[in-house]
Amino acid sequence: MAGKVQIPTKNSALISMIADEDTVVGFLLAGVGNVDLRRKTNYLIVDSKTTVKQIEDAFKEFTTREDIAIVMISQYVANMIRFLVDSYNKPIPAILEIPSKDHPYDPAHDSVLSRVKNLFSTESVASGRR
Amino acid sequence: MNCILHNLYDNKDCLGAKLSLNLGIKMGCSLSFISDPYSKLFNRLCDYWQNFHWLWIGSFWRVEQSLQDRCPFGISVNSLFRSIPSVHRRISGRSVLLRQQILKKMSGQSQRLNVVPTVTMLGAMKARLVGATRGHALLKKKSDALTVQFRQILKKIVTAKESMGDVMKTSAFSLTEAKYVAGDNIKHIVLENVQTAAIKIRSRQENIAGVKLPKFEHYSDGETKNDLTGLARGGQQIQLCRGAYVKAIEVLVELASLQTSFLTLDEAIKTTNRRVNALENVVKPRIENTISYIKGELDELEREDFFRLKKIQGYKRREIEKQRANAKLFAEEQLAEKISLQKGVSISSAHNLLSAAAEKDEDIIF
Repeated sequence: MAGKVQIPTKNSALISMIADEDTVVGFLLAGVGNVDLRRKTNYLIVDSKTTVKQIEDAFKEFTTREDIAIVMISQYVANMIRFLVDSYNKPIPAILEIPSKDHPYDPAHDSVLSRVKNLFSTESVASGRR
Repeated sequence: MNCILHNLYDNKDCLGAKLSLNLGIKMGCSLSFISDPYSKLFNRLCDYWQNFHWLWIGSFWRVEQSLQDRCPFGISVNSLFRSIPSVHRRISGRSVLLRQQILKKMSGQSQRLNVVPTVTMLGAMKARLVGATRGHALLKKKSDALTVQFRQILKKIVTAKESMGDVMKTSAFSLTEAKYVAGDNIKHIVLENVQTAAIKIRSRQENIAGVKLPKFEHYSDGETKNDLTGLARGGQQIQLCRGAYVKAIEVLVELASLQTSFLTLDEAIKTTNRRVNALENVVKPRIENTISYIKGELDELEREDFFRLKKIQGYKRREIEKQRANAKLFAEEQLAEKISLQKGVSISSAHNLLSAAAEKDEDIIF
């Protein structure tokens, strides 16, 4: 099939994060954090001093790295780089927008969920349910 | 958006109306459908013509004149259809000529393949048609299978996203608890202790109707150094918090694999549908047209052959008659010569004798 995206089968891939400090700390506590030989982390802590440029770079780096399967990104952070998130269309790594502690989660902003909702509602209307 | 549907004559017009409606919505322009040029609606339309960018005409062969007479915007029917090429198929077969024109204009390529009309080619085309039909059926099945899977995934995604909110809330709360008990500085300890990931992702493929979908699984690999975090105080809370986050990761990984499957399937369904439609609307009609063209040409050849044979037959018959007449003439000549020799008269008088004998009476025998 032309233009088909190859799905790599890997036995060990990482979860990376771009989120606020609390969320990152929580997940690090669970043990997703990784630091490689060059002291590169698989997470980015976003605070008030983090620039959009930094977030963009981190997002680009995480989505191009081979060893990352899932990129979790706080929704308010995703909103800052919405254009990047929306234009991203590869299946792997998967982009997950997660709620953060001090920003309420808005399903309307989620690029995937909005599509899902859209499809789901048309389907429900078609089948006469909901 | 002005959409007016009025006076639909029959099903085909209905289809056209629907299609043009869709089209209008897509193009974000206003559009109207009329099929009776003498209706009040049409009059009103003509009055407010500037509101309508498209005038969709159902029974255009009648409308054309009145359009040109009365509509100040003066779209001719041809130009109308040229601007809506994808609609041409839905136009009822009322105006064959117009349709053919549109077909020709549509893509600049004729609707049949460029082949030599021979019996061999006919066989090949028929084989291709069979192949196309089978392929179409198979692809349709594939598309259906994918759609079923797709809908299941849709439902799962919606529930997973909802549960994700709850799980994240509990985990955030447990972190707050841990912070309260162990002090705010545990985050520094945690950040310091990061070395290699204890929770990793294993991805494998799942095959659905030839489409490979990724599935993620998480697994623990070794121990974290965080086991000793909070040894001084709040250790239990921290372990609880850790458990909560591991649970959150479970949900998130599940969600991620669903989401990835969703995107992949979406793409696959689009491609499959495109192929199904291409086969159904382009390839198959084209092959069918080619077959009918070849059949027509072969019939034509046969008729030509038949005609030629008839012609040759007639020619031969005439030729034989001519020869027979010549032979007869020759025989007469010889006879006359013989008589002239026998009786001692000239050849011309012998001729006269013979012809006089032939004319006078058949009963007279020499």
